[in-house]
Amino acid sequence: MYWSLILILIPFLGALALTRFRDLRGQSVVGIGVGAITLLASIMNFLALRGGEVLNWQLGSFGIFEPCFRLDGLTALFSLFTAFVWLASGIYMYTYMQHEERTLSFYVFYLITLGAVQGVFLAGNFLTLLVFFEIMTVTSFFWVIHRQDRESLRAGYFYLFLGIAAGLCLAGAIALLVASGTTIEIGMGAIMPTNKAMLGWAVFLLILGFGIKAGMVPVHIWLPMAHPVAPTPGSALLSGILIKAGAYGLIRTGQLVNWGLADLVPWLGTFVVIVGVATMLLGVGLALLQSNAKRLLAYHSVSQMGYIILGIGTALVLKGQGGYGISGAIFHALNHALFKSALFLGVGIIFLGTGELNLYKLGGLWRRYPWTALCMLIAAFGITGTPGLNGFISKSLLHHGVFEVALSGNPVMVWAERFFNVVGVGTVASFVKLMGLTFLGKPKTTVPKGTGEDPFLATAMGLLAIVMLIIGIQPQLLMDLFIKPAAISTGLVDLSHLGHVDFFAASAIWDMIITLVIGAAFFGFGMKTNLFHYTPPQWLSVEAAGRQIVRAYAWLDGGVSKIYQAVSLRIVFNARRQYKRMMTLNRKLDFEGGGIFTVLNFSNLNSNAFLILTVLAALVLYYFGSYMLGA
Amino acid sequence: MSTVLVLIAIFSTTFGAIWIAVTPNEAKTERNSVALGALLGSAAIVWWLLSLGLHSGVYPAFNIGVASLSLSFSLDPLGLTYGVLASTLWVFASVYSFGYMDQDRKQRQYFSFFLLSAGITLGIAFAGNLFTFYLFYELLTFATYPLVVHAGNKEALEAGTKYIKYSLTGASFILAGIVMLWRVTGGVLDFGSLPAALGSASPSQLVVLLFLFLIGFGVKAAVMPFHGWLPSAMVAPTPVSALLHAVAVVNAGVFGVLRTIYSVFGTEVIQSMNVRPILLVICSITILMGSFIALKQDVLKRRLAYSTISQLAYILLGAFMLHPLALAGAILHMIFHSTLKIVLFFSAGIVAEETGYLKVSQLKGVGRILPLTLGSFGIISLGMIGMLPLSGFWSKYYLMRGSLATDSWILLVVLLFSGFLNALYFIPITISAFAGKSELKPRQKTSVLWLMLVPTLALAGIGLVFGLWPGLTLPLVDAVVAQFFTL
Repeated sequence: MYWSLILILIPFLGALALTRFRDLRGQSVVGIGVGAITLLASIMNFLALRGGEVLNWQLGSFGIFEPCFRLDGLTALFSLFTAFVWLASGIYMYTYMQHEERTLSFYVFYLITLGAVQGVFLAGNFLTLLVFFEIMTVTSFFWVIHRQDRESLRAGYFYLFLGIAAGLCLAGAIALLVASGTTIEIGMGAIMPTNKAMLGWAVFLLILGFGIKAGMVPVHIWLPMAHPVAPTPGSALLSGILIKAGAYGLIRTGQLVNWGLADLVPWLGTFVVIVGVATMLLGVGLALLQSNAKRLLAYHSVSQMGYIILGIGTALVLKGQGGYGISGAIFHALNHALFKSALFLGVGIIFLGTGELNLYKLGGLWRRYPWTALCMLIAAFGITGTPGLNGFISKSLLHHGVFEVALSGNPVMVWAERFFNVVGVGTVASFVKLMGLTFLGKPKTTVPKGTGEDPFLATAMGLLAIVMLIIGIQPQLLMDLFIKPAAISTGLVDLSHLGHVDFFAASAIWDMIITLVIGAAFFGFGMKTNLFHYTPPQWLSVEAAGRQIVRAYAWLDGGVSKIYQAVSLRIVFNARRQYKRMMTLNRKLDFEGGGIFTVLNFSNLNSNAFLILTVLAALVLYYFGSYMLGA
Repeated sequence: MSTVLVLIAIFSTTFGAIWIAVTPNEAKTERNSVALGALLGSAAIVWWLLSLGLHSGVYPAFNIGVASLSLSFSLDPLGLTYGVLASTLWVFASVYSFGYMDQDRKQRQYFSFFLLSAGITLGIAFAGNLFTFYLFYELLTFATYPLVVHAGNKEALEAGTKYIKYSLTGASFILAGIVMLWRVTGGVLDFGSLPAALGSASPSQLVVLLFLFLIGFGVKAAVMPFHGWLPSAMVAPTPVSALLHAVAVVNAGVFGVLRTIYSVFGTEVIQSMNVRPILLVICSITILMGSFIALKQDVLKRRLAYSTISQLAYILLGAFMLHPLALAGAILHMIFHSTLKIVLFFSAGIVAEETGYLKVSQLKGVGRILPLTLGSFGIISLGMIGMLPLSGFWSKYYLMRGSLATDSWILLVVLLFSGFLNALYFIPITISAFAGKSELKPRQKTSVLWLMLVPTLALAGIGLVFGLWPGLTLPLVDAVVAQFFTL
């Protein structure tokens, strides 16, 4: 318990302490120190769970609000890799932030966000989670707008507004959960809701709210904008960790409906599978078309989150038999945190030297950046699912899960399995593109002296790479140590599948090698045919739809204003004329003074009030009409 | 004893007002200390009365005069909520005013009426029958008129006229309602005995009565389409707009509606009348249209005014749902909206005084000059959206739960969507204030910054404290709910 409190509080205190340090060195010492303490705390948390128990405790009661915390296998795993990646980024920032302005504000928000993310993972009920969720949204928003240019402000608006929408969705979901007579405790299944429809809507809002954070299609639009514009450590943490908060929420949502066992929300499994596959496909498809390295990685985050969502979906479809899907999703969340942050950090190192993110303008950099090239190669092998590295393990588990649901013969699931392989090919192609264009070929840029790798950058990359290698080589150890306890704490009863997974079965390796070969071939094909320079038409994007809605609203508003102007002018004109006539009449009758039309005229109302007046009048007429008829 | 205390609470500020009125304009220290002393004293008494009521269940009630048309004061949890809220915020606003009006030439007039309206507001809160209520309600209009037209220019005078016209027209509906009620109930106007006395009225009489009262109070509560006066009245000095037009006056209207629903008619009568749908639709339209119009406003105070219109309708929505949870939401929102919105107004006032900028489009980079002001504006505006850990969330949460408990799903959507619209018109203000650089010319200061900043920050802190510890308000809210619903 104390370690968990440290985990949440130390980052906040560190942020306070930061304001005393004006120089970058002091700030990074605080950053790295806090990172190390949180890593230690999360390891201690992990050790506290060795017996497989679940720790719950409550921080007093504030009336309606009862801040509860819960520590179980899933929480411990997520908070462990969060602390680890945060520490790696902290080490990286020592060098990187020398090239950025306003380092203090970045460091402050770096630490507060750490506390908030840990709070999200450790929260024991959805209200507590929401508190940290909102803090996380707001503070990480400052990473996105750190550069304060046009592009980053635009991305920041999208990020913040969608984040706020996510928070509102969760708020609505909590109200619905309470009203439906179930629990808002995290880690509990809904038992006997009094209102099933309400529970269904609550789950829908939860999926939407967490899905926004997780970069789920079609509410992913903020992600490819926001992740590239942040300073690189920010991008790495956004893509590596923050979207995992969404994934974590989705897993807990699955737990809330007992993984479909009680059939509380029948449509859920199929829905999540479809959304997951759409996210995978769209992410990888758009990633192939990117020339900006960070944007490519951001689209891959969308795609890889699709894998996680798909894994959750398969578990929901299989109703409690989904050990593969769940453990795959959890494992993939861990892996993605490692390799995506490593890739972002690597791209950032190259950006520091060359000032270039456009892949087609880079090349031949492996001589200059051998260590970066090596670590990024490990990460790229990881993300493509090459046997021997971490991504292969989680993708195998996910593939088992998808394969199982596809056995049911349901066409949606069969196609999900087929698309799973397609996305694998696309992933390979785009990472061949990233690595090949950056490190191979002829050098196209000149790298100034003294901007190569330095110990801090190399350490950060190395830490991530080593862990990836360990996972890849010793998957069973990881399974037993981390993934199984996590899967158990998601409320999954039947874990019998996971006992004897042969990760290095010949068929699985063979499948993956085929995928790799096809992917590489596809890359060659794409480069030859200029396929990767294709720009999809604007109207296809989600943004365009949003813009149409705004335009329609503006048009409607303008139209209403015009009608209002026309009508009200006429009314005022007529009223004035009648008033003048009346006054003449009055004067003739020897009566002087003001009249009602000087007081009540329509010029007092504004344009939108006209619309309201019309609606209200209709309502009042309807109401009185029906009332009188009824009486 | 407590009878005397109630009278002191109401009239101490009146004496203060008279004292200030006869004090020369130059005696700033004397004037400020009299104003602060009177307001603090009255606030302290109201708090004491509140704790007395909550802990020992003693609510003073007494009549001055005879028969139904007596001046009757009767305290209850609902009235005390409004009273505590108003009298406490008045203290903060007075400190803010000391800073804001520092160089003003008409301070004597300003502070006299400022104190006068404080007492009148308490009169509304503690009124025990409709007659007393109506009396203080009308007085409030007249006492606040000089504050609205304080600037004395053409725009201010026009806004004042509009304010008077709207308010008096609305009040005339209330008067008509009272006359009709008098006939229907045979002279019973006491809040305590009204619901029972209305049992004999015919349905059509009830409908007419209800709409007379609701239209009447709806004007001050700025329900669309009776909201026109509120945005125009923003020409008043900022502490006045903050206190009167975001907190006290508009809440007087809201309080009137609450009284109408719960003390005049009673929940059972309203339930049987089957008027809920239309009332809820009107509130929903006000919530959404208020936000939509706020999106288009460039003048910061006008944007806040439309936001107020939208947020007040939340309270009414909670009142009309006729459910314990929704009523708790309404009461919470009355408290939380006031404490949050007053911070936004205070910040807008500081920006206007320090930089001379009134429009949102001019605010670029101002946050660098006034980080505390714009920082608290930004944080508190998140509370208006309904984000944790700020107090605005909890009232919204209760309203959402109430809407679900009464099977009005659509209201949940309205509340969530309106929260998003709030984000759309509040967030860009803060962001543009902190991004970019401002080309600000140094100008002559006519106000004292720290006197304005202290109440702003204190109230922002209160917003945060309530957000993390919503239970602080629970005894009060529970008492109000227990007053009208048997749980």
